[in-house]
Amino acid sequence: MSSSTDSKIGLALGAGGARGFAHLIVLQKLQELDRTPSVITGSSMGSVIGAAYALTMNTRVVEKMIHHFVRKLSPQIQTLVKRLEGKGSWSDQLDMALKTLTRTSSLEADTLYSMLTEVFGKARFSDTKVPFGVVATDLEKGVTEFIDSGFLVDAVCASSTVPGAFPPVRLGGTQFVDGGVLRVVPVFEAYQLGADRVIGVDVGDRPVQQEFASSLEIISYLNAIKEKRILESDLGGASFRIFFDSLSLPWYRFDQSIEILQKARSHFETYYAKELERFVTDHTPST
Amino acid sequence: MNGNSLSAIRQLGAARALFENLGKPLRIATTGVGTLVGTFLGFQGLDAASRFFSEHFSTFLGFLDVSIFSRPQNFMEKGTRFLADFATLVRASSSTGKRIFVNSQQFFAYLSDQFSFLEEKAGDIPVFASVFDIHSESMQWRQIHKPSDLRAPLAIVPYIEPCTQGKKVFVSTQSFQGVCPRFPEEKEISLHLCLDSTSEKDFLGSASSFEILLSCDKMRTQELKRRALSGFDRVINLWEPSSSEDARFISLFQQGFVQASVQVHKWKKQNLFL
Repeated sequence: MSSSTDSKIGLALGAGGARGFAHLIVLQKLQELDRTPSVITGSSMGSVIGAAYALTMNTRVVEKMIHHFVRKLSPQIQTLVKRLEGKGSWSDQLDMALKTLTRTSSLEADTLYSMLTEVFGKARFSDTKVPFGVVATDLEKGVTEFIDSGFLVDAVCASSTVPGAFPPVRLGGTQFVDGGVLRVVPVFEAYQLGADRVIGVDVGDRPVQQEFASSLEIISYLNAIKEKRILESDLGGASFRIFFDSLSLPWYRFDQSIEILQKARSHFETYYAKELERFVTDHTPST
Repeated sequence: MNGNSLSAIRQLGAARALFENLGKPLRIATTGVGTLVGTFLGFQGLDAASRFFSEHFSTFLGFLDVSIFSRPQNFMEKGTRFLADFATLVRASSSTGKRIFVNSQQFFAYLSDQFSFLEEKAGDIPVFASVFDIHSESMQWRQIHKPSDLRAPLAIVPYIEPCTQGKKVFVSTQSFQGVCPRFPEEKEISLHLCLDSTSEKDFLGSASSFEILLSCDKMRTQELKRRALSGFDRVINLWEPSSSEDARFISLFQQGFVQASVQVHKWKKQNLFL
């Protein structure tokens, strides 16, 4: 049995779209403390950042990757923001409504896959420097699937397909949507990969709403409460919990990467930096 | 008690099996369509409830059969379905007071009429319904005394519109976690048994973003249901087999009776009621 000072620390990185850039701050801190996680799991954006880090073990490379893609995909990001915030023209709005009913996604299927292919190429899970796994949601069975073998690009793509925005991904005969639907922060899976203690990182933005203009708003808010309950239950199993709950941005604001990283750094320094340091020191093998 | 409109009928068959083997329950705790079955059962008894739902089976299906459950087979059906979904989207986006899938106004007018007995007599078995308060993000128990008490536990969004009371918005606990929670402890209650008829398999599909988003919402409900069920002492699964295979009242009633009888005998053999 492990003693408290030789724990294998796992890192579970949560879903949250662009807010997931904040995961980088935690990775930087762990690197600074010279305590790289023994295993990493990710859901949705957590799987993208987690996979990039697990392959390189270098936060600078991950940060460069973030900025590179935000610049490169700038036109697509602007279109996405316009559409989802209802700022597009009348015809854009109608186009969006028609796509919602006739297509499986409002964005082109290739957008996500080609970006991830550029990052991960033909890398496999076996190429990562620490054990790594992602969660995706089986759309037919309604359960979470844990994927820790095969090509990274396929699994990360399956884990990151925000429902409605990107089309479901077919892998081995199964249709998958975003892992964050049922497992916002994959804490349990980090234990499954061999961690003794798990740091769970949530980047969710769940504002409290009191007024509702339409039934759709109520349905959508109820859905957010469900997500919160699932998260609370999953994070209950984590040894150390980090909530980036002051980012206050919708998932699709990838154009705000610099602001997100700044806000996340300041939030982390204020609330978690010292405690995480203590936690890591307590669970680092003495030499 | 909870449930889809069809498999909720199995709860009547299951109730007969339970009454015969274990006696009447001290409390009936419900949510969703289970509130209708449970309320009739608690106030009018098993025979009257069975008679009522047998006679009104097709009327209930008429109200609760919504286009989203059907799979379009040909071009015409696809066109009709598209228009129905488009209208649904517009309705849901434009107001909190209009119907979404089910015509709530007509449905609740019908219920007020059929459940008017609630005003006239007290039930043999007290019936409680679980509702979810959107603002406080919490579940609440309400005892059923009058037809309007059925409104909030039946607000199964997105199919039936949410229930607004003053500044508060309530929905059925079924649309939150698929099943009511374990009823509060009372000295006399020694067993919390759940008749679960909310399917864990009927996801809507993946033909459009609209369907995928609804499926994801339903998956979250089912995930919470799996966790909530662990709070009960015993659970009888009434959602299998799929109710669409034989959707006649008598078949559903018998299936419920057989499933509950088999389960109770199994538990008795294992001395689980001692």
